[in-house]
Amino acid sequence: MNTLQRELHKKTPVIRFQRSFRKNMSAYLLILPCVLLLALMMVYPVFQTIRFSLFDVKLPSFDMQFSGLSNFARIFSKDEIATVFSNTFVWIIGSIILKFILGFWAAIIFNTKVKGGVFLRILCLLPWTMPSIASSNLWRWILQSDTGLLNEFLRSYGMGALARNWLGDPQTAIYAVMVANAWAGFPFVMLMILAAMQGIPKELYEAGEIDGAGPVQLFLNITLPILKPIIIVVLLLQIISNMNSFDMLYVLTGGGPGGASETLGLFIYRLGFTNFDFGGASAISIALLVIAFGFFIFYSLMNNKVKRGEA
Amino acid sequence: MRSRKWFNRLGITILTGMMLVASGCGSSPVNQTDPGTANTSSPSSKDNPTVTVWMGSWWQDQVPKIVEAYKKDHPNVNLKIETMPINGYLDKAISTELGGNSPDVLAIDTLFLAAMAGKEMLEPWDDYVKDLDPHDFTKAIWDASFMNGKMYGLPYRGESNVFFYNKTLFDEAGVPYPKEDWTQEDMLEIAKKLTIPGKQYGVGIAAATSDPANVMTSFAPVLWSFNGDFFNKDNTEAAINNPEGVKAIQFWTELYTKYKVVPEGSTNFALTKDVQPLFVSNKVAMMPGSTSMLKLVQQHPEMNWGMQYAPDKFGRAGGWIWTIPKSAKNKEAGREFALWFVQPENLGALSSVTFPVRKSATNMAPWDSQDMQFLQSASQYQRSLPIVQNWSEMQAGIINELQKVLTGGKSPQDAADTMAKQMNELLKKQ
Repeated sequence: MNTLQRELHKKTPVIRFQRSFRKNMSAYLLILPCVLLLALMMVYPVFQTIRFSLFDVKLPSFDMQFSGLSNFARIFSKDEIATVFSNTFVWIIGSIILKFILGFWAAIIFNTKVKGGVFLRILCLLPWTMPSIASSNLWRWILQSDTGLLNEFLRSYGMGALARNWLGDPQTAIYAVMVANAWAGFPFVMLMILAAMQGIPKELYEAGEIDGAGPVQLFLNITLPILKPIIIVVLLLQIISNMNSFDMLYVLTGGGPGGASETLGLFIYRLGFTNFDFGGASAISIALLVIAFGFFIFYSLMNNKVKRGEA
Repeated sequence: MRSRKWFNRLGITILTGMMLVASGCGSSPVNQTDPGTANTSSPSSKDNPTVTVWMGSWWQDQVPKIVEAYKKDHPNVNLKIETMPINGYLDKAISTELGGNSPDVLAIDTLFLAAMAGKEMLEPWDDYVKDLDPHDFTKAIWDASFMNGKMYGLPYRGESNVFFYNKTLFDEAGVPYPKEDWTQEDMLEIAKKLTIPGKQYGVGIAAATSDPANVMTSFAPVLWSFNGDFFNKDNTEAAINNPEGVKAIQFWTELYTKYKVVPEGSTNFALTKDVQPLFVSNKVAMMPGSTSMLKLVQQHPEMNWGMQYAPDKFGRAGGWIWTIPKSAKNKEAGREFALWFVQPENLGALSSVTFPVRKSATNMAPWDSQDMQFLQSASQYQRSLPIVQNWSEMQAGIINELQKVLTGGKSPQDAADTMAKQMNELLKKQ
């Protein structure tokens, strides 16, 4: 073997991998338990869900018979499926809009020097730290029709005509829970936006002011463009997190009345854990996974762009 | 094959764990028994067999007493009782059984029996109850412990639902108290007189999906009053869309849509969580209830209340039974605990939160009081919900359709037809 051949041999992928593996073996060993745990807790359930979606699962014996795509066909031909998807769409869009409005508002306030700012910031973070079941029940007391705080407030200030059966009316149920969800989730948006805002050099604003730009122009031409990458990342994370929302809707409306607030998360729960239709629940979960996966890919691309400073 | 099933069970366990954590349905620390008081395990008793029991969270305060009493009679057994909230109770019980991790004894509502026994998740009791006198038990609950001729649960709680009424509201409106032979129509007329829109309502109903048993307590007696039923006599075909059933649905929903004699939020109400607080705060004049309701009003000495049999006397029999899940590790010890618990002296002394299912257990305080005896007398008018395999799914469908009628989305006939269609499809799946 001459020198050239030896050099070529060294550069083949297998050899390179072997060398790198030998070099980093201790590191691989150290992360092995974590990888195994991740595989057990994350990969295995996904694998099992895919499997269930393609089989007719008989309980409690778990006898499984391959059924191809029949679970998908059965679930997607259900009467309520269109309502479930449209509710999920409304839920995601509405929740994100509300969370961004509240998050931006709070971030702008805390980015300026306000008296008692630290206290207010802690106060704003409280909803985020509260267990979702506790905050759901808190909102149930607020939104309850007959003795709820909101309706009591409206009635006692002469606005009784605005009082509604917020959680029990199909026209308002999902929107009422959306407000509660935005309240619980906006601190995350606020934190991300605030962190990005605080990284904007003051010189840019000073230069803008010298050029005669007003506060609105400064916000539109300096703040927003610089925040664009983080806004996209937060937006994608929020889409994914709202897509499989469950707890607040479950406690506040249970998907009712008459399915008016049933989203994909609740629908999957109903199929899987009320009807014990694991095949059907897995099929719809896979559909959700595919949609979420699309957003994940977009998120990864955007994240890389953000890292490279291109976005 | 066996290992594949094991993997399937593992998958379900992980999925269930994730879902229950997400839904908050897992037994919270508040609802778990304090190991210091409830679990009799001690370093010295480590080698003794342990019997694990699951009960409803309303037994929480009673758990130490049960453990102590059992310890006295069975010093060599460690009794470990966990309590769980009613929300998601059945889901958790079934998921745990599918994961192969059930407790040795599982308390369930008779409503849940078909869902579990129908999937062959429970051991039969027939060979173990030969010494018990069925006539000593509330008939509706004893009968509700059977499925396809086999007994799958040992009854310990038997509730009779009657109507509670707020005498203050009746007196203020000058309305006479309900009489024993009152009908649903009488109830409606009284409710109309007692309703002041936005301030107080004549009667309380429940229609929330989160607590289906409450909805059935509210709706099923109306259905029976109108000579309707969920199924035909042998439970082979849905009968809810018969003219009688449709009439009942119309009557029940019109309490909300037409006569507005029930609270505005009723579409999302549970009896215990929402209607009871309104009743004790003088905002609802009448509502169905049982022992828990009696305990509640007794805690409010300022209240002036009364009890009467439900309109047309029908009530939904509420019963809880001890079951032995198939995957229980210590079945015989589990049965021993359940049989010990239903002995009249234990049942009467330890069931301070719910009505004992045996007549012989009601000869002692607090069950021998006038009020408790009135509840006991109502047991003859109680009926059970159908024991069919996919009842939970059917019930969810019925409530969904009732909500649609309540919110104007469907007519009673359309809703009843949809209910019947879904029920018949599920019957075929059995």
